Amino acid sequence: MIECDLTDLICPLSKMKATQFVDSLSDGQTAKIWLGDTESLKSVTRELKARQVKLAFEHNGQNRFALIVTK
Amino acid sequence: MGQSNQDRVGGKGKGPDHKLKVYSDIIQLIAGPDNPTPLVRLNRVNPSEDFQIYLKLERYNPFGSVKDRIAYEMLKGLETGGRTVVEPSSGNTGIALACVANAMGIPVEIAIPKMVPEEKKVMLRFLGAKVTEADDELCPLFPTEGARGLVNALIGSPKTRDSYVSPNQYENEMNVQAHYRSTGPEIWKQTRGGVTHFFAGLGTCGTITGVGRYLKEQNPQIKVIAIEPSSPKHRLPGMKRITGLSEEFMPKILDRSVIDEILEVSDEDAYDTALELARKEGIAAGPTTGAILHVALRHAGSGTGLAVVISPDDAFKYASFYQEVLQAESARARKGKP
Repeated sequence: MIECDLTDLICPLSKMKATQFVDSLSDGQTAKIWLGDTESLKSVTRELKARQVKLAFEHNGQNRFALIVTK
Repeated sequence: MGQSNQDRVGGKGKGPDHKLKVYSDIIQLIAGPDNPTPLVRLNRVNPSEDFQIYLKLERYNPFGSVKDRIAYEMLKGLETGGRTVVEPSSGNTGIALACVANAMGIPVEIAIPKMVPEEKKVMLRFLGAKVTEADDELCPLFPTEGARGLVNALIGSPKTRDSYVSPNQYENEMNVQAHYRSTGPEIWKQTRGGVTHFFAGLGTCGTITGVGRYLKEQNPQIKVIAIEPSSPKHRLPGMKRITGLSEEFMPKILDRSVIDEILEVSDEDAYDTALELARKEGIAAGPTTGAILHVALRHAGSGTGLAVVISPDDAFKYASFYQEVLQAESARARKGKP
């Protein structure tokens, strides 16, 4: 699965990069986005839901979150 | 021994010669008490003899706006250490920073709101700045100012923070000092101490704070009047509505003690006044000039005195915005409405 590591970026930079990454995916493609803080997680989740991207969430440690996205 | 031709003209590192208009670099053209921007009396939009209005035409700065004054002041004291200068801007600060930074050999990146006219974005790219457009709703931490949020993230993210430095015009005291040391003294000198009212828009609040503070020190009776858009969502790039803003988002450099009144103006009144200024006085100014002037003209109906109105920039950077206004005007004319 293709992955995008945004753990070193805070919001809204993380949101911008996540959106650009999802835009680059093909329809139906699944990928994993890594985020490093809850603020980024909230704003990326909200943005991708608004874009009707399918989401699943994984919590990997205190400051490491993963979103599985399917475009 | 005779002078070399270079010495005669003004070589590198020499001071400006404002009389002959010879400069050793473009930065020396930025206005100051010895080289002020023009003060032009309005005769037809304001026929009142009792309340004279003078526009201070900041477009005559070398990069085209009032922001030229602060760009150099902020950059000259900034330790960039090879980092890229990044700043949120609705255009004028970005253009001024790009020009000054180019003259100093510093790379620049500007975060710009999407609603800014295309003309400004083109100018920034023309100047070689990296331009990132940001939705106003981009960042929940800066609810109506995505560009500020974006710069905040570039400065704060572990991955990018070592690559960027921001002058931060909202918090940089040099923004105030530039106006305290140049715009304020210019106005005092140009009016021979006769100014009674000063009108300026609210944005970063550097102009109103710096000029207001200087003028109040010369004569505490001078009225300092600030203008803000009547709605947070407006078409007046560079202006900010501060009424109702929480302290967290208030420009840190604002000194409310120098402001006598804060008055609001609608987009429609601002654009109508800018058109009137162009058609009656031949002065092509940006919509923020229209906004500030509209409020000054309201005062002209009842007051007496000598008012100075800041005109931040010219009309050319807003051609696409004005085109919409003109199309609406044409449509009304076709329907026979005024």
